[in-house]
Amino acid sequence: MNKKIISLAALLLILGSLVVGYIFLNQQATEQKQYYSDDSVNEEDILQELDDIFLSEDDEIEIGEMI
Amino acid sequence: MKRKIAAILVMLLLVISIPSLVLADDAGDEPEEEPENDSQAPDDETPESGDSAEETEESEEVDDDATEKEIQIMPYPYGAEIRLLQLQKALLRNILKAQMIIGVLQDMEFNTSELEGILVQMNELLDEVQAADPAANDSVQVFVALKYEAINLTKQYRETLHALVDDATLQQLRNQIRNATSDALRDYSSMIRERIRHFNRNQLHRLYGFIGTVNNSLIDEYFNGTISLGQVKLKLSAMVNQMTQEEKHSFFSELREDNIRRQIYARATMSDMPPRGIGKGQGKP
Repeated sequence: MNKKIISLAALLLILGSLVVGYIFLNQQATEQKQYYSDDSVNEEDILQELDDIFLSEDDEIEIGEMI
Repeated sequence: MKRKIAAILVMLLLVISIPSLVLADDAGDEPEEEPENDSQAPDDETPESGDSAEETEESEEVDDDATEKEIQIMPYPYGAEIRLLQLQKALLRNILKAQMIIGVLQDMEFNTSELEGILVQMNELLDEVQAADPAANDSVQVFVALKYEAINLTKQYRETLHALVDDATLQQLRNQIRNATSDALRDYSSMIRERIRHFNRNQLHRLYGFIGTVNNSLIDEYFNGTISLGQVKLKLSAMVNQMTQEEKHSFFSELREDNIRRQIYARATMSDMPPRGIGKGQGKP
């Protein structure tokens, strides 16, 4: 009887470890995906950076108004 | 015995489920959103007290921010030339307006001697800007000093004018000088536009360096005026979106790094400049 209990407990421990391990690995993979998807470069990000590298053709310097 | 087995089973189930719940909870956590920080607005807004010292400080900060952004392009080919030409154009525009204002006020029999004195200084400053060498090592420092001098003279003229005439006359003057222009201003506009196009073409070449390919037809189409800068940006963006995630990240990182490097350069240059208000600009007594 004791052996049965011990075997059952060991089996459950193994299963539990597998479940926890699976969840942990899954979360890491999700974080990696999130890293790419949260930091994923969308069109807005690119356009914003391109705005900084180029100069608009009607760009002007302001030195104030005379009145 | 059965109770023991049941108890062990329950304990083990709890032991297994608690970490799962904890991990699931962590995955569901969203990062806290930082409150929006409007960097343009002052942190403690004072009520409208007409405190000119505060207003001066605020406008100086705005000028500093704008100038810092402007000098970012100056290390690049055509960058210094563009900024000096833009400064010349801005000064010339203000000089034209100043001349028109003086003409109108003289017709109204106002004493315009003080305004004329400032106008003389503005013309001298324009000569200095025209003589500045964009290829000189200190072109950035020269540009900043001349720009601040231009801002000071414009402000001096404006304050003198406000002390001389009433609000109704000011409004009349505003209406009269609104569309002040000249052939010289138009010439400046085309020179500047042409140099900006050269500058942007060079930037396109650099960008393609980040991507690792080149599209000469796009560059030529932009340079010839067939497509606008806005269309170029959209095409570039579409091209980048077709890259793999890794390529996209690599390109975006290089681009951001480049932009940040320019910002750091500009910030460092501005912080090395002498404080405003000291001296009267290049070569002035």
